[in-house]
Amino acid sequence: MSAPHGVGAEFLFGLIGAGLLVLLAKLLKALGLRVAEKEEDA
Amino acid sequence: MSELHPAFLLWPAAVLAVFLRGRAGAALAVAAPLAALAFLPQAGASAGVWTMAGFSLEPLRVDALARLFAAAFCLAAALGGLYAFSEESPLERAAGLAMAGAAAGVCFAGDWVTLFFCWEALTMASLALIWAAGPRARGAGLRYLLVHAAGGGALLSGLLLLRAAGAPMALSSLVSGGAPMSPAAWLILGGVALNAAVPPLHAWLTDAYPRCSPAGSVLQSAFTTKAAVYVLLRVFPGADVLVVLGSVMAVYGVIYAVMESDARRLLSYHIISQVGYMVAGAGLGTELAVSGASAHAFSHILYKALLFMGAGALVHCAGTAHLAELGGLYGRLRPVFWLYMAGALAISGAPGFNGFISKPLIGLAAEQAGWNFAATMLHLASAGTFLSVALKLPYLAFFGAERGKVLRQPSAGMLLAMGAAAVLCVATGLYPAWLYARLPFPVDYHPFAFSHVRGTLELLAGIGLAFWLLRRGMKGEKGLTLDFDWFYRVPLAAVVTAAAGALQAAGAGASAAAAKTIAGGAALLRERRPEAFPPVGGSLMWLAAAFALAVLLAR
Repeated sequence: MSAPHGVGAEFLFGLIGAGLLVLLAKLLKALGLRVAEKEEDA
Repeated sequence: MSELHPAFLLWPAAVLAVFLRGRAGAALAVAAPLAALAFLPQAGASAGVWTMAGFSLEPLRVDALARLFAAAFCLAAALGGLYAFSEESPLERAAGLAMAGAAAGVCFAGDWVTLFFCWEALTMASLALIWAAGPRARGAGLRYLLVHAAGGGALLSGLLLLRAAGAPMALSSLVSGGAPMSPAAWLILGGVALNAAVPPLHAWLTDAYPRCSPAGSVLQSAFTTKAAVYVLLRVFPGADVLVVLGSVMAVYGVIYAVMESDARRLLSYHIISQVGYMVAGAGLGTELAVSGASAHAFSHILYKALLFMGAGALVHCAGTAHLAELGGLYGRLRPVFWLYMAGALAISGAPGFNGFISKPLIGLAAEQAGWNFAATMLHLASAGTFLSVALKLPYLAFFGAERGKVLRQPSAGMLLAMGAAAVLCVATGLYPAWLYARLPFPVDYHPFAFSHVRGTLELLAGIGLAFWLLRRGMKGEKGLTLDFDWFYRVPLAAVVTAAAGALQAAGAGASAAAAKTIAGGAALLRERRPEAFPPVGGSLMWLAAAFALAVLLAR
């Protein structure tokens, strides 16, 4: 697998890649990596 | 004048900055780095070799690579000084100047002893800059010190092993073809990788940088990680492990950035992601990769400073950078928005900005070297960059329902610094030949080729569509993103607390006082502790590393 080339390939890579990253972020959140803030820290 | 070491200009200025107040101090923080930039030694210059305590020291060895990084550090220090022009913070000014001097010292060091001295000076100045932010940064500073003491220890141990093996102390590559690296080289690599924020040694960055003052974050974003990238390019070009680590960290950083809701912490995770490109470039080790990583470091220092200025402006104007508490600020902070977007488009690699002319060099080098896995990972990280920095953050902060209040407007210095950084991002983006001519190796690349412009615009359009479809699921929300710092926030803090308890039980007097001090340290370590956190991040990270290793071995 390599970086995409060709008309339309980049668009699809951007669409799918961004969707995948959002999905991964949500999965990590569901796994407990983003939790309620117990102590105000900033 | 061609042999004037920038540190000899910046360090005295740092001492002077402690005592100067008002406009004189503010002007010094801008003028000293600009003077150092103007008098940067010419490539090929050397101040000769000094012999001290049996060591041959070469504090000023100059080539194109060192000069480019030092120039970027001087520019960043000047921009940071301008950004903080209206703030009365002599300690921050002094720390910023000291960091710039130390980072330039790392660049021009021709031997390991000088490098180690400047390396540690950089850590101490950086720590001072964190603690200058006041009590809210006390715990983060302690954790920073703890982690960097370990990193410095690894570096020093490696150097001592090198010395014991009779290796020359002159700075040179520790990678030789396909031969395995020595234990000394691995220790040095560990120490440098920690400063480059290579996961899992990265949590100090996202812990400390968001707690600095707005100007402190701007300065922090420029020096420590990029000085480490410089050392990787100088000492470890062609180390395969760096290609894997760089590719993983590029994606790791953006995933966390997509999840993060604090603007400055989001940008901090993005430093990890962007430094991943440079680490991968160092690992590829080809002329194109080393030049690409150098170009990207130069671009990154400029646009990341601009982005942190934008996030700092949110803190300054609205009192918070938390996206859950912001929204609808566009009408009140229009110049901040547009200047921030210049940085956001630059980091996203949009045509006309400097990321467009530097980032593709590394991807291209990866493809040419047959590292298609790395090329794909870096491309995927690009998608996350545009998504989180150029779409999510500005959308939640500047548009939608008005939630945040604008308490005050940005100062003239802030806007001037942002404007200057934006001009530099656009100027180098539109005239790449200027940057390409200053790279360590010649680059024959035409960024404005139709296929590259079209491909980039297509990519950004695809990401834009994805964001529009998923925007409701990307709302800013209060909460805490857990990362590897859990390991010293919870288990290590528990050990320290137990030690304090044991001392307390041992008796009164000196041991009771020591117990109280240690318990205070444990509280600072534990700060931000969640109730019960399974170290899921760690597991995922190791899974990702195992996957990357499998890909590496399967090549």
